[in-house]
Amino acid sequence: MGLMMVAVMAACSSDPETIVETREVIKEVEVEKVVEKVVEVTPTAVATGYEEVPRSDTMIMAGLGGEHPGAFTDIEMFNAHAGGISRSGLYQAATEGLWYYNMLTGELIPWLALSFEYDAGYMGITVKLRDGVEWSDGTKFTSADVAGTLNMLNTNDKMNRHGDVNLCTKEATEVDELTVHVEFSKTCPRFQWDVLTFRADTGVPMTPHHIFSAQDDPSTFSHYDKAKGWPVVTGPYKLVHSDVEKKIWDRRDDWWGAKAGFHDLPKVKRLIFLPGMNEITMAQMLIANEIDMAFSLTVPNYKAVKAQNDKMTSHHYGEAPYGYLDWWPVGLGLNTMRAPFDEVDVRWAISYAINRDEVIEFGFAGGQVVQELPLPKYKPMMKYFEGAADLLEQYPTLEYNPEKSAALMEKSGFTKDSEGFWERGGERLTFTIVTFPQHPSTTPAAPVVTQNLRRNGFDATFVLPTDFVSRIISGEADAFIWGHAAMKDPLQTFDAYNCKYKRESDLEDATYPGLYRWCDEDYSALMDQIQDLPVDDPGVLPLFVEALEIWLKELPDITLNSTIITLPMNETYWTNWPHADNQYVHEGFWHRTGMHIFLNLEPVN
Amino acid sequence: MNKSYLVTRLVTFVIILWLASSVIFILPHLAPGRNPVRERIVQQASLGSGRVEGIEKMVAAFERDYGLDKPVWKQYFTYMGKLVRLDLGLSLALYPAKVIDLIMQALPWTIGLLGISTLLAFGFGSLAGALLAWPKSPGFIQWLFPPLMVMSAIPYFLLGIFLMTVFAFMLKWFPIGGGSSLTSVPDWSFTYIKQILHHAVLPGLAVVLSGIGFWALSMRGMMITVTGEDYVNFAEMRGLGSRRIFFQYAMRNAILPQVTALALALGFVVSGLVLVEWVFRYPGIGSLLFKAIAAFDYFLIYGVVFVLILGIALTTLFLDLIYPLLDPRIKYERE
Repeated sequence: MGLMMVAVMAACSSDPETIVETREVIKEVEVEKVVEKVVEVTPTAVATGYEEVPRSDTMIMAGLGGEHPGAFTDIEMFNAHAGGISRSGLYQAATEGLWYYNMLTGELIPWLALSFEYDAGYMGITVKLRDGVEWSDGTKFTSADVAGTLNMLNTNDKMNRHGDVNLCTKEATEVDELTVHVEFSKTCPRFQWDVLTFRADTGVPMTPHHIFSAQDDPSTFSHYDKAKGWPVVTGPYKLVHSDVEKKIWDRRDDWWGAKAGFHDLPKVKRLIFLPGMNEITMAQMLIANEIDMAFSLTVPNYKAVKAQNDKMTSHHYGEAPYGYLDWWPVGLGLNTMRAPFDEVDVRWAISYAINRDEVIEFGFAGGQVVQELPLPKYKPMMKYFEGAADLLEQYPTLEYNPEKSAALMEKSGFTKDSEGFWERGGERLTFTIVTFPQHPSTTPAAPVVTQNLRRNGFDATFVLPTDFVSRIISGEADAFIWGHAAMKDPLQTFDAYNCKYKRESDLEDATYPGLYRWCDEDYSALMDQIQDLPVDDPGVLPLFVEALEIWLKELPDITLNSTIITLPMNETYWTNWPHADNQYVHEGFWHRTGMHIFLNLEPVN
Repeated sequence: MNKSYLVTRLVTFVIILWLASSVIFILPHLAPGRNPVRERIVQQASLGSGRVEGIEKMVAAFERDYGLDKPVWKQYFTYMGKLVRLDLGLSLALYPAKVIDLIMQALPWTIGLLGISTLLAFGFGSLAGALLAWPKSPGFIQWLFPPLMVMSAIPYFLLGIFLMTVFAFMLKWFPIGGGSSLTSVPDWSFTYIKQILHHAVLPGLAVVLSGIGFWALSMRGMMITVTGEDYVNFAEMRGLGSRRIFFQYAMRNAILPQVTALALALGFVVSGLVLVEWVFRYPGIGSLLFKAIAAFDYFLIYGVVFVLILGIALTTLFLDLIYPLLDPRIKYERE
C-alpha cells in the first residue's frame, strides 16, 4: 500500500520532465574504492548434488520480457526452436550466436563465427567458424551443427524461425569442419543479418547436430534429460534446475571461451531467472534486495524504488530518460481499408490532433521521447533521419495543430455535431484504439492519445484486451498502437507497408507485419529494391528517401513515441551494469544478447 | 446403500462429465473470429520479425496437427475420444508441452495451499461459529462476531495485499511471494519443506482469514437451530457433560450442511484462486487457467476446466456416497 502511495505521489509530482530528444550522456563517475562493505547475504538452502553458491555470486532476474506471468510452463523444454519456450536462460546464458550485434553502438561482434562472404548475386553465403568451440558434452562445434540446424528448420514447418530460414535457404552444406555454405533459393543479401546474427530476439540458435539429428520429430523433442546432461550447450552456463518458479543456470568452468583464451569466465557463478510478474511485486523485491534486475518499470515506480533503495541504477544513472532505447518505436496504426481511414486527409487530421508532448509527459512521466519516424535513433539510423530532414519539414509528423486538423476534416466533408464530434452524412466518426494490456511503451500512451483525439473532435475510445493481437489481425480494430522493428536500416519497419501484405477487405485476416493494409505500387517497388540490397548498403538511403516521400504524403501509420525501457539494476551485489557511458550491450536480459551482461558484471565484494 | 442407487449415481456422474465436457468444447468455438494458432505464431513473429510466407505455412501445419482444419463435429468426436483415455492433448500456446503435464506441475501447489487453507478455514470457522451460538461459551467469544463479519466481506486478494505489505514488506517477517526461496534448489530436505511452509503462511492466511467468517456465520446459524432441539435439551436434563453435548449432540448434527458446502469448496479449490496466486506469485492452476484464457489456448482451457469439473463431480459423488455414514437417518434404500 505504502509503495503504491509513493508511486502515486511521484506520478503526481509537480516537476515533470520534458524530453525533446535522446542524447548521449557522457558523465565522469568518481569511483570510490570500497574498502569495507557489509552486504547481507541470504543463506542458501543447498540441495544434495548442487553446488553451494553464495548470494553475492548469484544474479537473480525477474519478469523476463513480460511473458510467462506467474509461473514457467516450459520447465522440461529446452529445444530452442520449439514454440512456447520462454526467454529464461537458454537463449542468453547457454546458447551463443555466430555473431552478436550491439544495437546501441552498431558494433557487430564475431563470436562462434569469424567471417562471412556472399556468393555472386547473393545466391549463397559461406561462413567460417571459430576453431576451439565445444559443446558442453565435449563434442566439437563444427559446420555440421550449423548446416544441420538450418536444414532442420528449413524442412520442419512447426519449428520457430522456419519461416525466416525457409524464405532463403535451399540447402546448407559442410565445406569442411569449420566452413559452411548455404545455397539460397533466391537472392538474399540480408541472410547473415536476419538469420545468423544474435540481436534482441532475432537470430537462429544453433543446435547440437549429433543430438538433434537422432530425433524422429525435432519439433517435439524436449532436449532435456538430467541424466544425459541435456540440454547440451556451448555457452558459459549449464542448466542445474528448472521448476515452475525458477530456472537456475550455473557457470561452466569448462566453457570453451575460457579454455581457448577467447574470454574470461564470467564472475556471475549462478543465474536465476524468475517468470513474468506484476510491476509492484518486482518493485518490492528490488527494494528488499531479493533480485538484481527486473523487467521494465514505469518511471514513477522506478523513482519510488530508488527512493527506498539507493543502490538502484538505470541506463542513465537515474536521470531522464532513465532507460535504454529499445528497437521498437510505436505508432498509431489504422485499418486503412476502412472508411474514413482510407482517406489521406483524415489520417493527417488525426496526426495533427495528437499532442505528443502530452503523451510523453502524462503517459510516460518523461520516460519516452518523441520520434519523427517509426525508427529507433541508433547511430546507424541517424543518416536516414538526416536524409529525410527536408521531407520531414514538408510533412511534419510531430506537429500538434488542432486548426490544421479541423481544416482537413472539413475539407473531407466532416462537420461537428452538437457534442463537438466530427460527423459526415449524419454519421459520427467513432472508433476504438486497441493495444497491449501491459507494455511499457504502448499501454500508457493509449489514454492520453484518446483524450487528445476526443478534445479535437474525434469520438475515440481505447481498450486493452487480452486478445488484442487477434483484434488487430482480424481487422476488428479500427486503430491500434503497435511497434516497429528495425535496427540498422529502415527496411524491417517500412516493408510492413508493402503491397505484398495487401488484403482484399478490411476484415480479411492480416499477415504480420502487414497490419496497416495499405498499398502503393510505387512504394512497394522501392521496398523490393531495398530488400535486394545488403543491410545498410549505401544504396538503401536514396531508395528509402524516395519511398518515404510517398509514405509521408499518405501517412498510413501515425508516429507516436520511442520505446525506452526503464530497467532497474541493483548495485547491492553487482556492478559494471550497462550504462549510457558504458554501452557494451543494452540491458535487456531477456534478449539473446543478455549473455554480454553476465560476462561483464563485476561483484561488489 | 443399495446397488441400484450406486449404479444410478455413477451413471449420473458420467453423464454430468459428458455434458460439461461438451459445453466447454462448444463455448470457445462460439467466440467469433479468433484463430489461436495464428495469434500465437504472430506474437512469436512480432518478437523477431517473422516472414509472412513462413507464417502461413506454420499456421497451416499446426492446424493440421491439432485437427483444427477438420469440421467442428469431427473435432468434437476426436476430443471426446481422447478425453476417455484422459489424453488432454498438447497446449496450443506452449506447444509442444502436454496439457496434462502443465496441469500436474501446477496442481500440487494449488491443492497444497488452497486445500489446506480451506480445511483450516473450515475447521476454525465452524468451531468459532459453533461457540458463538453455544449459550455456555465464555463471554469473550462474542467479541469474535464483528471481526468475523468484517473479514468475510473483504475479498481475499485485498487481504493478501494488506498482509504482504505489512508482514513481508514492512516487517520482513515473511517473503514477498513465491512458493519457496529464490536462491534455493528444491529437494525434499527439511530446510526446503520449511521454506515452503514459510512461504505458504501469508497466502494461506489470506484464504483462511477471508474464509473463516463465512464458515463461522453459517455454522452459527445452524447451531442456533440445533441447540433448541429436543434431544439436546434431553441430553442436558440427563446431566451429560457440557463438552460432550457440544461436540457429540449439537455440533455433530449442525455440521452436516457445512460438510456439503466443504465438499463443494474443495472441488472449487482445484480451480485455484487466480488473484491470490497472482498477488503472491504462487505457481498454481489459477495462474495456468488465466494464461490459457488470455492466449485462447483451446486445449489448455479444456484441460483445466475438465479437471475442475472432475474435481467437483468427484467430491459430490464422494459426499453422496458417505452421507449415510455421517447421518444414519439418510438411507438410499427403497422402502
